[in-house]
Amino acid sequence: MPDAGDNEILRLRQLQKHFLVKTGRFESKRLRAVDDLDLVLRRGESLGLVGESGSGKTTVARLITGLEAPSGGEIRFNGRSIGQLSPRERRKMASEIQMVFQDPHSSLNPRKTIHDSIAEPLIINTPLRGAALHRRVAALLATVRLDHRFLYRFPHELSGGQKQRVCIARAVALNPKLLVLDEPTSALDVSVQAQILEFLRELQRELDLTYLFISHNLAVVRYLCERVAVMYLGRVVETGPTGTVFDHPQHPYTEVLLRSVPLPEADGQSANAAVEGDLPSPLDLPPGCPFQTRCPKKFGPRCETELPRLRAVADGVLAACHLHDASGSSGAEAAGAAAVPTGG
Amino acid sequence: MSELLAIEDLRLEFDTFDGVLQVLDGISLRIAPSETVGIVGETGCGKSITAKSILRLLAEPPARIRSGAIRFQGRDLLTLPEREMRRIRGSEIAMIFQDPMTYLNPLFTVGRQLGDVIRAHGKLAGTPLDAAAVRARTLDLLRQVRLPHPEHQLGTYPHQLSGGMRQRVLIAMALVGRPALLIADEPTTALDVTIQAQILDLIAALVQRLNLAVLLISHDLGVVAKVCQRIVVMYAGTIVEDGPTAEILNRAQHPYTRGLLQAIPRLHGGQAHLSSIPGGIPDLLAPPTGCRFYDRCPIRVDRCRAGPPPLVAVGPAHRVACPVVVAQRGAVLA
Repeated sequence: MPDAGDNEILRLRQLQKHFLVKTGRFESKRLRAVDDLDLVLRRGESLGLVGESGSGKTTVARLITGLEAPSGGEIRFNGRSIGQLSPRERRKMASEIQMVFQDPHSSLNPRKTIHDSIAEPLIINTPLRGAALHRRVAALLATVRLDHRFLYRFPHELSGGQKQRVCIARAVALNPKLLVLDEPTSALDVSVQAQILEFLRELQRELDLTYLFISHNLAVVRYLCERVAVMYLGRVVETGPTGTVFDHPQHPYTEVLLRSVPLPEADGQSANAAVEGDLPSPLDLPPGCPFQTRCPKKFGPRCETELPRLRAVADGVLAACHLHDASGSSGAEAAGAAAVPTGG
Repeated sequence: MSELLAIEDLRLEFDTFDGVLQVLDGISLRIAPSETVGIVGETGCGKSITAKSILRLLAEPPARIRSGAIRFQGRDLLTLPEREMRRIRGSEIAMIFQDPMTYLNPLFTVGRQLGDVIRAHGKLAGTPLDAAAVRARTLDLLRQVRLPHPEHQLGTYPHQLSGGMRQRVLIAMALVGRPALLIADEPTTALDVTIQAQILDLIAALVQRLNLAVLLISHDLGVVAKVCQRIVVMYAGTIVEDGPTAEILNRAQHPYTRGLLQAIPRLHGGQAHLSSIPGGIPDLLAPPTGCRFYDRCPIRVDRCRAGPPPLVAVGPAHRVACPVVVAQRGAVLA
């Protein structure tokens, strides 16, 4: 499989994370949190990873940042497979991939000042000390548009939005290349969310960052991300340019997800819920297409037996649905097509 | 217009170690029979407190109602003895909450918990029910909330249900007393978007079928727009705007409502920028004397600080608490 070259910063290839879950005293079942996931991030872009709870999006983030070890497949960062790095190289890489979590309050040590929280990664990873360290921390605080008077305050004295800025300052302290943002605005009010989203856009330009932005909020992803990948039960079911995917969804699940969002518009309401029922248990996934139990467009026995692969279905869009079989490219190319997005 | 519930000039405070928190400052709100009203606002604006004060669910102290009245079908709930209040809770006004798991007992089956509520209401109404009648009513309610396989669900425990199904069970419990008003406090916030759509549909269908009035509290304007005929916007313990859903969404007048609408990312159509509202909410220990939005307001004038701005009609059923907007609109009308 050819690499996409310098343009590509991160590539997930057939990535798997399975957990063994005890279901009885002597039995356990395999939970496929992430299954055969192919995804590429290009340098400088923002990719939105969307899906409902249990879709595996947070597990993907934890795999990329090294908080979990994959059960199978490969993660390539800057062209090198993470599994083959020496511990020393692995540590260096860790500083290049940083993560921002959903709840800024629980990400900060309540007994440390803002200064000490931001200084910690610098003390561990750099020789900066004393006045130089202080200058760097103050500069980072300025980067996230916080006044220097916050330096010696404690987390409880800050609002949610301010705390999230501190977390971002700490995440960019070691000059990372890739920032994994896991629902960074979900705990914030909408007016504060708007400030953070605007700020994230500016920060990306200033520091030349690549974002993997994980969210259940589709409108937020539309605003921030050029490309989107939709996950369902551990797999990507559709990926492509955000505008194209949201305006012309190709996978029935994407369609359902978009139709389910209540719009703050006077006449934008769809009459009925787009889908019946709940997510099936990830311990008892149906054979065939994982979405077949809820799919409004299920058309036959094929959906129940054969797992649909991601294939190119439209300009730069890949979808994993048998409906596109007749019009799409041949299935044999699917794996390659999945890994190398076209167009955009 | 007949009225089911009327909150008149409600002022509510919390005693804290730091001083007196002025949480609600003169809330006035009316709900007609079978009307659906949504309260929106950000964290700390007092929307949940307003809802809880209707059912007198706030611990007093620390909460203290300084003044005001809450009339429900002509009776003032604030002066009602606790005994009487217990007859209203669940029977005439029911409430559902954000996290359904917290309100279900993990040790009892769905059938048992729902059955208990049905029996209690039977006794309260003076018509005790036998086991068969309780079971029949339980199944009927579970069908009404469209829980799949209701017979099977009777024997399940809350942890075996998904979040959406738990919320359906709670809605079934809320319907036991055939209430005239359902208060729903962020009922779908903990749910995924496809499940949220199902629950909102269910609430909308129940409103139609049971002539239920609904007071829906949400931070999400989209959720409120889907269910409610009228939207009330709260800010820092005050109502800043109140009007028909389409009016609020298309012709919002108050600078806070406008700011809020512009801060929402949209699903369709590209947005170049999101505008945010500068600053933060005022300290409710020492709120501004005049308009509580003054410090962040793009159109403020000196007289905004004079006193709390009253809600003034600017259109049919559309009221705004902003003297600047009222003056402009007045000039346009004249």
